[in-house]
Parts: sequence; structure tokens; C-alpha cells
Amino acid sequence: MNKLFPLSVLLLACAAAQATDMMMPDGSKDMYVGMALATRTVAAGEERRVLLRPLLQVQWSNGVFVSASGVAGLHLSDTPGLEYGPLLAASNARQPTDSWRLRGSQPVQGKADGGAFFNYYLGSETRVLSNLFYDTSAHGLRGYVGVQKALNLEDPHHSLAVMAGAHWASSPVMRELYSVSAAAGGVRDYRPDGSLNSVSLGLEWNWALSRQWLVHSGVSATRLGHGAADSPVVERRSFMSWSSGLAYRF
Amino acid sequence: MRRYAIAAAIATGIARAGITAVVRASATTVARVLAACVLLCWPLWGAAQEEQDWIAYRDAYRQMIWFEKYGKPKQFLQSHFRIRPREKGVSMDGLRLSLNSRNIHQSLTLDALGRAVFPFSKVAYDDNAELTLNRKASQFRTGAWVSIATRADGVYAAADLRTACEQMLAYLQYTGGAQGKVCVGVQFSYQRNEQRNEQRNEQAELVFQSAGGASSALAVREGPAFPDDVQSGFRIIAYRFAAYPEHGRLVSSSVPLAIAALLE
Repeated sequence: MNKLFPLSVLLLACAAAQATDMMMPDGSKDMYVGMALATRTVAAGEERRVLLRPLLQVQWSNGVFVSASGVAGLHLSDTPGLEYGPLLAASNARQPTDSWRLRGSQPVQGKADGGAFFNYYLGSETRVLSNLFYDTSAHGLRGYVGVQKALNLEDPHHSLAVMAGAHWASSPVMRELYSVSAAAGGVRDYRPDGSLNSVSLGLEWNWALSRQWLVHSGVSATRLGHGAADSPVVERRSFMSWSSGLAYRF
Repeated sequence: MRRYAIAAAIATGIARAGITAVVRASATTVARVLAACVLLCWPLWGAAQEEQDWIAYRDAYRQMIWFEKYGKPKQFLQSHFRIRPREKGVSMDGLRLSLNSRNIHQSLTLDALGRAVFPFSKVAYDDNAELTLNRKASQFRTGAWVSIATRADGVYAAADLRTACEQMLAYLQYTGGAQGKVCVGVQFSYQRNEQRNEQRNEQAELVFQSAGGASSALAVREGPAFPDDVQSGFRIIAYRFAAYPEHGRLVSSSVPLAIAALLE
């Protein structure tokens, strides 16, 4: 009944954990390995470049899953239509000296963040996705809520899914990412509060060439909330990111 | 040929994914070679696709396991992997389904409604097996199909059929369908048999026997076995709960092809 493809939003810019079900025989795994061209996830002050990135997603029957996007987690639900469990997510380190735009900003430690995910299926083609993380660098919370819907296609070898969602961050997280101090060399003082960080809309397309080979492509549009967009470190309020790659299913 | 077909498909996939510009800028020659492969191999690949098609076993498994893991009452229900035509005119005659991998080559028997007992197999899952179809898969809808179980003795208690319909409704609602619907009856379907002899034709297919002993034959008409199917031409008999006493039983003179829940 579940028509959402397991290799979902692997490379979309949002860091939402996309867990697959552990609906498989005991001791089995479902693994995708490949390479993709992708625009780098755009955060404050980063350059947008096309990079060659690994594609990896593994799901084991014991509920553990990892992906190359830096997310690992554990499925605790044994009920179809319901997914929840703990999550670990890698985060990128950043220094004020990394780029001229980041002058006066706070350093960001690249420590793993811990959290949890909760996904709920509204029928076989739509699911609500959510996660909540404790940011170990900023010592604050950040979360995501979104909806993913699979679109019905005649050709069973193609699958399309649209996704819309919103990221929220508490004051410590927003300040670590977006605050600027003139005294520390920034263009002006800026100190945001906890708020909506961004909203995003994405489209994913999977083309199964055979039962082993798969072309995975995704495009997403992101618009930053006021708290982020008003920061001197942010170059653009809205941006697009995309990825496309080839994976082998083991 | 298989390798070329994959290379061609990969090249097309990359181009369609909208990154042609990147390929052009970095490796024009490679792109040209791949494009040539596409042109050379596309007809061969297309021809191969006409003959047979595949469905990833793991994806089918994920759909089929929902019913297996369903924890509410389901003793009157049965689950199949079903292949049904998307449009009228797509014939089911000669349609064959098999499970294939390194270690498994198994033919799966399809009934007249395109249903097969799904083989839950760890070996097939670990092999990343495929369900092979001897037609284009895009002509059909494939996936899990739950219906009311038939009985070999042909005797169905009216109360059991009501419970079966309620179990069906609960399961469909659990999987996200049939919202706001209620059970109004069940529908038996039988194969239309041109060879039936006169004597058999006169015998009622399905009879309702009330608790008091009175019996009445249910009306037969022609139609699809399941309300939303495009495949039609079966002998179908609707047993609407409201039209008959609550207590009693239905007696079928032969094993029906299927029993569908009527939800309105």
C-alpha cells in the first residue's frame, strides 16, 4: 500500500530524516550506493557550487538506517503507517573567517546533533514528516514539519513525490547561525530570536532502470524566514537546489 | 545488449534530469558517445521492453507486508498480489507472472482476476529479486489486494459475511481508503462459463436460506468482480444486507472467484 519510494529525498537541502520502513525479513537489508551531482546545501554565506557527492542509504531489518546526507537513526515502530525513533544528524562546522560574508558571526561546531523523528501516513500515498533535534553546538532546539505526497504515474518504473515543509529553530540556534556582532568585525549588530527558519518545496523523481539501477533526482526551492533572511551573513532569501545521481540497489 | 541498454538508459536519465549543461561543459566527448549509444540501443531496448517487464520484489514486499502486520481481526479476509488492467480492452489472457533472481525461478499462478498468492521469501528479498511479467507493466495496476475469503463448502453464515465486510472496511480505512463509507453488502462473482449445460444453468448459483428454512435465489447479473474494476463480464450476485433477514445463511453451488465488500 505504501507507494512512497524508499530512496526518498536523499539529497534535498532540508535535513529532514527520511526513514524507510523496516518492512523486510529478519536479517535483511535494503541498500543503495551511488554517486550524484548536487548543489551544495546553501547555508548562510556559503558559495553555491555543484559537487560530486556519494549516494548512500542503508536500512537494516533491526530498524537501523543511515544515509550519506549525514543522518542515522533507529526505527522503533513495528506498525505500518507509523515511523518514529531516535536520530543522529551530522552538522557542518563554520568559522567567521571562512568567507567575507561571515565576518562578525559566531563559530559553529560541527558536532552531531541528537533528536527524534515521527512520521505518520495519511493513506498510502501521503505522509506527515516531523523531527526535533537538540543542537549540541548552539544548545538549542530545531525542528521540521512537512508533508510528502507520492504522485500516481502509469509507468511503475518512475515515481514522483512532492514535499513541502517548514523548519523552525529556537533562539540559541538562530543566533549561532545568523547573529552578527559589529564589535567582532561584522557590518552591523544583528541578533535574531527563535522563529521560522525556512519553508521549502521539493520534487523528487526516481527512475528505476532495472531492479538494481536507479536514477534519483530532486529539486527544491527554499525561502528563508525573516529571522534568517535579515541577517548580514545571508546573501539570498530564496534559492533553489538540485541533485541527480545514479545508485545501485544491493 | 543488456549492458548497452543500461548505458543508454543512464545517459537518457542524466540528460532528462536537467544536468545536460554540466555534462556538456565537462565532458562533451563522453556525452556524444553516450548519446550515440542511446540512438543505437534505444530500439533494441524498446523491443525488449515490449516482451516483458519487471516489478522489484522488495517494493512489492513492502506493499504486501501491510496486511501481514495488520493487528486487528482479519480472519475472514485474504490478501493477494494482484495485477489488473488499467483500461478496458487490455486482455488478461496469457498473462504470466514469475519470481526471478539468482537463486529462485518460480512461476506464480494467476487466477481469472489476476491475483496470485504472494511468496514471502527472505532469499528473494536478499537476492533483490524481480517479479517478471510477460507484458508491459504500465498497462496494469499492481499491488496488494485484499478481499473476503471464499469457503470450499459454499456455506456462508449471514453474520460472518457482515463481519467480513466490517473487517474489510476497517482494513481499507487503516490503509487510508474508504473514508466515510459503510458496509451495505457483499458481492459474489463467478466465472462466466459458456460451456455450462442447461441443467446447471437452471440451478441457482447463490441461495439465501433464512433461519426459518425459507430459501430464495439471489439475482445474477453481469459485471466486474470488484466494483472499481475495468475488467468485466463476470456473473455477479450482490447480497445486500438490508434486503434480507439478519439471521440465515448463503449457500453457493460452486466456489466463487471472489467475494467483494460493497461499501457506499
